[in-house]
Amino acid sequence: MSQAIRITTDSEFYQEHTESVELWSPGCPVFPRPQNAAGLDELRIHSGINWLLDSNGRLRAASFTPVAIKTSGGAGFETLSKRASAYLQQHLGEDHKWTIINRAIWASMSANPDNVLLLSDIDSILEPGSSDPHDVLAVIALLSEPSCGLLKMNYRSGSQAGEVSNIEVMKRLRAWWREESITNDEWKAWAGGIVVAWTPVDSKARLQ
Amino acid sequence: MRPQRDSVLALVELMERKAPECLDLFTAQTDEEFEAAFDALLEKAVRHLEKNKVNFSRLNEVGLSAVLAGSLSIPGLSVTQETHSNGHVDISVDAYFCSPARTKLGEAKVYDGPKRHVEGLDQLLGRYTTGREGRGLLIEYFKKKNIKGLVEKLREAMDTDLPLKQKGACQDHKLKWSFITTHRHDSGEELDVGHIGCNLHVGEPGDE
Repeated sequence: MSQAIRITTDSEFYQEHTESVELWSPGCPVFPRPQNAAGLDELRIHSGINWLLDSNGRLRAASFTPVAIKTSGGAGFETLSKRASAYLQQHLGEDHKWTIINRAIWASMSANPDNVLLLSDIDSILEPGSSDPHDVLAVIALLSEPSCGLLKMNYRSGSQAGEVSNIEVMKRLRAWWREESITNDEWKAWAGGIVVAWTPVDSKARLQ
Repeated sequence: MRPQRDSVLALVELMERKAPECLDLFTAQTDEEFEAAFDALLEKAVRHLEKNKVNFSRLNEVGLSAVLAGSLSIPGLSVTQETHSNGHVDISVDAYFCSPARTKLGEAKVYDGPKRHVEGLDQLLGRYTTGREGRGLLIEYFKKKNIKGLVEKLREAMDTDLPLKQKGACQDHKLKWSFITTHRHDSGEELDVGHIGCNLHVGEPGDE
């Protein structure tokens, strides 16, 4: 760097999450080169350090905002996010969009008081200008695959306490879509009252 | 009625927008219903690859299969891949919403003649398939020109040699440049394999 700069972070956040705070200076050989580094454009959109970088990727500011993914005891969302990222890279390839979507999913769950991902959260996960939610759904599909062991899909009835089983949902879907033994209105009334949510399989990762 | 944004109804509507065949697949009760729905989804994914073949021209079988996996995966259906050093890619299709859950195994590679094709088939039938899975999948990415002629030659070679206990001649597949073979498996079952051709030839200037 051509001149000295001072970097600070939120002291309270640093006290609680020392392991999550790192300073990576673009191009500096002192720091390790990340394997899955996001491009500058992606950083600007998806992280709190966007305004730290000028148009040439040089550090320009003297402050730092906390990372989006909180951590707690147990595996922690940061760890799960990294595991998920490696899993997705193996199966979906090295396109950065998967890394961005994955990180946004875990950030969204960590920010939710119940640590769940809801369907409506997909809107906030989508990149500005992107209108296709199916990439997000593809990531959710892979992370929810039983052998992957990262996310679990749950159904909960809005009117009754307790979970609704996948078998019950598929039975109703089949009755409406294939057998036509229930009407459109009956299907909409029932399916509109069942909330679908994804949670981390590792309960230790859940924030209290 | 306006569906709740986080409901099963909203999720099903999202899936229906992507491809109504998703709902056919999840509600399938017979092997035939499942395979018909999967073929329709696969055709869309193959068309996506072909339509964007210039963008994917530098990808090898791993990268191409990753694109395929991203196109096909949706909550309830995951497509994953394992890479092998010999140029083959193992593909696993898990329809975990179906009751009972259904699995398909596949191989994918860049086409390099009938001999290499049969090697892939051997790998699929001999090493990984237990006999419980649905119709196998052998995806060939054709980067050479004249996919029509190459697939015809491949069919002729297989009809002549009847490799891997092939029972009878190749049968037509619903998808273009594709066909189905039946093989006697060590489990005692007769297993179908869909051989799927994907045209990724990018012509050079002056190509005839």
